[in-house]
Amino acid sequence: MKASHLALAMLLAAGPRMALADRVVPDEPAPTPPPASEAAGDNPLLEMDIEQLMHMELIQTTVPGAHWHWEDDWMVGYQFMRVQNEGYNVGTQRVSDQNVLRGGNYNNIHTSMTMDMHMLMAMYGPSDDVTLMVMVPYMDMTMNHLTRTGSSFQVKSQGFGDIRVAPIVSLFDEYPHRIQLEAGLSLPTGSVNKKDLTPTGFSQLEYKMQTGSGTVDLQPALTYLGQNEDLNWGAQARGTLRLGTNSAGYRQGNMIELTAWVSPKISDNFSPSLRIDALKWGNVVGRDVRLNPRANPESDPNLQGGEQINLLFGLNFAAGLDDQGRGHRFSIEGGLPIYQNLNGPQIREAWRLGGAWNWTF
Amino acid sequence: MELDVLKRILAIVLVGGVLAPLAWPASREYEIKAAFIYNFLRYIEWPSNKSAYTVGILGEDPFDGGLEQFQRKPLAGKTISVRAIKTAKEARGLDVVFISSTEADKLDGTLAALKGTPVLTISDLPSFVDHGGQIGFTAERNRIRFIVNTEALAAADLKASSNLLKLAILKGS
Repeated sequence: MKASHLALAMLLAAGPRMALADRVVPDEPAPTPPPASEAAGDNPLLEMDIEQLMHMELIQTTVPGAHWHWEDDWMVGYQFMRVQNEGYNVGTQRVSDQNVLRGGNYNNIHTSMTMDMHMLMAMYGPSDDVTLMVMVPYMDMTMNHLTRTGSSFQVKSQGFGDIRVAPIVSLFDEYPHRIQLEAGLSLPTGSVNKKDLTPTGFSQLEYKMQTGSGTVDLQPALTYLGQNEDLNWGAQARGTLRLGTNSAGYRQGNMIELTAWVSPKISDNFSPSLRIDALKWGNVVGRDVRLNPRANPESDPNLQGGEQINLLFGLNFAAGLDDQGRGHRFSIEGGLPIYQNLNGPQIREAWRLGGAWNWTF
Repeated sequence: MELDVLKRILAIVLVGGVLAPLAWPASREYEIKAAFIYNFLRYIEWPSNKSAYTVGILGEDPFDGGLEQFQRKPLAGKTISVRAIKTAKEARGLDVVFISSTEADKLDGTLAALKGTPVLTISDLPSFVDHGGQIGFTAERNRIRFIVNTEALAAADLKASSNLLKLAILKGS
């Protein structure tokens, strides 16, 4: 906390009397303490002076995704997400594992894939109009295989993913609307060389099992946030544009994501949320020569793209928020795809579930 | 899933989002504004010494009765009475009048009717001070700010504390 911040906090703690001490209007009456018989339900803000009122947030959101921070605010947080994939799609149609295995003449297919992502994040507001963000993911993925002979095996990969940095800049801010631009940059700190033991030896793992893209990726996002006392709503468009080719000879497909949410505030500390999330992503461009596209669909660069719409329900909690919105926020959110159109055969998403905690101070 | 179903879901979310701010009153916003108004009584000097204050709300009450709490909180022994008024003429005998957004169409006439009288006019109507109002609320970065029209205050023979003015956005010379 800056010295100026600390001084302001001390000023606020001192209460109305200090701020009124040097008033110049000659007949200003001195503020009086509230009467002992103060009625229940009275507006407690009447005890504040103007300087304190000017720091009061109109909206105290409990929704962690609605992110920006005021000058000198810090936030640290942790997010977890599990995405479970099971079964295959060709386009919008479900296809059985056996049809994929026999019909595609593959050596093996994937019966399920579990992706766990742990993410540490930090945000800082150098001014009221700019928030800086850094996100460090750690990936832990498991894939179960079924071979043509009927045997099964499992491979795993773990490691840090691509670190993401982004300044978030306010473009428009007039209560209750806010529009902000996020100029995200994903750095290739994850791996594109993850290997594990398979029936044919210690082998390069499929594109989806790598913890990073291997390329510098631009991730711009435009977000509209609307908030009033009783509701938080908004929408976001986010793109991922891969630059160049990674050291393994390919680049992941570009991606666009559109999401919209609404979250009624049930109490100061709780709000559920409903979100709809639409994604479209491309095939891998180029190929990793260590992967045989005939081994399984996930090794084929042309079977990686698709479209998907998820419907997600969340519960958002806040604890110990002060009048300036600082404190702890917790959330859990889970959802199902309601539409999947995959360049397939491609393993399909079954469900996703996540949780987050963050602390603003 | 059929595309029609998806479109319907998306429509519900988006229409709900657009209509929601119209359907829910922002009472926290008006709790904060009420506290500002209570404070303005401390920082404004009227031409005649006051033994009590009278505050009126012209138009629909956005505070949902919240200003009536002033009546239980005298300032330095001076009582505050609050009442709803329907016309600018009724406001002429008051010390403070809050002009509700429902009075937007009549704003210029209201301010003209109060011109030259020592009545502190306050509103959150857009461009209120540009029309000659004295203190206008605005919102900036999720916080309430207030604009003081110093010329309009002087014309009404009202004086504002320098401590109030240094916190305000100033309009006028």
